[in-house]
Amino acid sequence: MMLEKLIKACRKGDIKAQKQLYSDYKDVLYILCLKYSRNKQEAEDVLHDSFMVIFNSIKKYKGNGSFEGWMKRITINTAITSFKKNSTFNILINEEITKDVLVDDSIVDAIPLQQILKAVQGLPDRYRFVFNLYELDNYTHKEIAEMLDVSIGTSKSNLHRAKILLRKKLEEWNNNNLNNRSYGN
Amino acid sequence: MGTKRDIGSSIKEKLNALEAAPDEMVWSRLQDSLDNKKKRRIVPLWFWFVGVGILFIGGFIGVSMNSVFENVNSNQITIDRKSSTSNGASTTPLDTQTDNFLNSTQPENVDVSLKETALRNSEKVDESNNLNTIVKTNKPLKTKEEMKKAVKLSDSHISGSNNLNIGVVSQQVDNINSSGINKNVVFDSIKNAAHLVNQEEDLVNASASVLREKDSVQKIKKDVLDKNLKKQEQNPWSVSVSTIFNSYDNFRSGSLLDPSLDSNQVSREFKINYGASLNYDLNQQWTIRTGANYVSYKQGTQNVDPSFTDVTRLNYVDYSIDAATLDMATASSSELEIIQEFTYLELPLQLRYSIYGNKIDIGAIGGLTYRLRLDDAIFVRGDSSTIEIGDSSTFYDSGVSAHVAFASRIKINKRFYFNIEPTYYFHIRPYETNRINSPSEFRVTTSLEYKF
Repeated sequence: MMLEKLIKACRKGDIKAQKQLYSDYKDVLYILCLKYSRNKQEAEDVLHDSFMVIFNSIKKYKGNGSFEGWMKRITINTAITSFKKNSTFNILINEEITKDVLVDDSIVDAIPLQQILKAVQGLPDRYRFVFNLYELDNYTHKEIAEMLDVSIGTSKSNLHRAKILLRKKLEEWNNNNLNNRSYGN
Repeated sequence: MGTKRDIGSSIKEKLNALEAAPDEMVWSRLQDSLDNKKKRRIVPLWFWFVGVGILFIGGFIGVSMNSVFENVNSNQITIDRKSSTSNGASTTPLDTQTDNFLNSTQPENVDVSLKETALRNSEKVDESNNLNTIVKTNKPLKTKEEMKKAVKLSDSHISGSNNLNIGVVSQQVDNINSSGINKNVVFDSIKNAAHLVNQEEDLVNASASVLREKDSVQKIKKDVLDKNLKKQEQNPWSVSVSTIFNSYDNFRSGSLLDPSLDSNQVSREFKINYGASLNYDLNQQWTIRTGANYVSYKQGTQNVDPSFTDVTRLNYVDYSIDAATLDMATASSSELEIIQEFTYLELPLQLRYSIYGNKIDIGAIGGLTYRLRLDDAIFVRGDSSTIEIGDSSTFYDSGVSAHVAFASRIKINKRFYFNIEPTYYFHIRPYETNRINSPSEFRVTTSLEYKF
C-alpha cells in the first residue's frame, strides 16, 4: 500500500493499515528506542507508547517533511517523556566542555555491536539522552536544552561526561577481553 | 594502534549497522490498547433508546428516586472496602496511590500505566541490585493484583537489600579495624568496601527510580483528571430529554367551574409530561439552561347533581354547545363528573449551580418559566356518554412562574448523565383570573443529559 493511502487509512482507524504501518516502521523505531532506553523491555514500552501517540496524532501530520522523521521525533519525545522525572536531567553543572573525547578506532572496531549498545544503554539517563540526541540524532545543544529543560552548559557537560564514561566502559571491556584471550593462549 | 577519533562519531558509525526487531508481544499490546480506545469512543445508537427506557422506569419509580442515591453510594463503599481488605493489613503510600489509581474512572489507562510501572520497577531493581533473589517479571502483568504485587515487591526488595549491604559494609570496616597493619588486607577491604559503596549507590539510584515511578503514577492520575476537566471546558454544550411528574393540587377552597361546586370533591390525575433542554456550562459551577416542556393537567369535579346544579349555566365556562344538546346528553344521568383538561407549552430559563461535583453532582437550580396555553377543554361525563361543552372563561393565555430545585446528577459515563430534580414552582401570574388555584406546584423532573 502506498504511504499516503496507508496514512489515510490509519487516520480512519483502520486496524489493518495500523498493523501495516507498524510492520513497516517497527524495526527502525525500535532501534531508536533501544538507544534511548536502558534495556529491551523499556525500549518495547517506549515503542508501544510511541505508536499509540503516532496513531492518535496521525491526523495532525500535514505531510510536511518526511513521515519517518515525524515518527522518529515522536519516538524521541516519548522516550524523553518516559524518562524525564523531575530533576533527573536538571542537575546544574556550570562547566562547558566542548573538547572531543578521543578513542582508538581499533578498540571500537574490536567491540561487538551489542556490547556498544549495552554501554550506551548503561549510561545514566541524563548522559544517555544528551549523547543520543547530539551524537546519534544530530540535535544541537540548544535544541537539547529545550527538550530536556536544562541549560546549554549542562547539555554540553553531560555530553562530555557521557563520552568519558563510554570510553572508560569500552576500554575496560577491551582490556578484559584481551586478558581473557591471553589466559586462553 | 589505530587512528584516534572522537568516541561519539565512532559509536554512531558502529551503531548504524545495528539491526533489531521488537518482540511480537508489542503489537498484541498495541492492538489491545487501540481496541480499548475504540471501545471507549463508540457510543451506540441504542444507548439513546435505553436512556429513554430508563427515563420511563424512573418515572414509575417516581419520588422513590432517593433510593437510587443510596444504592449508588452503598455500591461505592462496597468497592472501596473490597479493595482495601484485599491488599492486606499494611498499606504504604504507594499502595494507597495504586489502589486509588486502580479504582479511578479510567480503568484502561490505569491498567496500562500501572502495568508498565510495575514492570519497570521490578526490572530496575533486578538490574541494579545484582542479587539473584529478585523475581524478574518479563511476562505482562494481567491482573490488578499482579500489578500491585510487582510494585510492592520492588519496594520490599529495595529496602531489604539496603539493609543487607549496610550490614556487609559494617562487617568490612570491622575487618579493617581488626587486621592491624597488614596492608594487603586493608587494601582489599577498602577495595571491597568501595565496591559495596558502589552497589549501595546503585541501590539508592534504584530507590530513587521507584520514587520517580511513584511520582509518575501521581502525575498520570493528575493528567487524567486534568484531561477530564479540560474536556468539560472544551465541550460546554449538552442536551437533555426529560420526563416531568407534576402534582398540582388546589389547596384553596373553590371550584374552577362555578361557586356552587366549591364543596364538591375534585380528583386530579397524575400526569407524566415531557421536555427537552439545551444546556451551556458557563464554568465548572454554573450552567445556563433553556428548552421547552409540554405540560398538561387534568381534574374532575365529581358528584355533580344535575337536579341541583344547572350544568348549562356554569359561571366560569365558555360554552361551545347549546343548552338543549347538553340537556339531552345529561338527561338520563343522576350524577355527573365535569372534567377539565389544560395543556401548556413552557419555556424555562434556568441557572444551575453545582455545589459538589463528582460521580454524583449536587447543586441548586433557580429560574423563570414562561408558559403558553395550548389547549383548554371542559367535558361533562354522564352515565352513558362524555360530551365536550366548551372551555374555561377564566384562564389566562399565558403565565410566568419562578422555580427553585434541588439538582442531582449521576454520571453514567463521560457523555451521559442522569438528572433528578425535585422542583418547587411559584406561579407569579397564576393560571386563572379568580386565583382559586394554589400558586404553588411541586414537580420532579428526571432527564438524560448528553454532553457533546
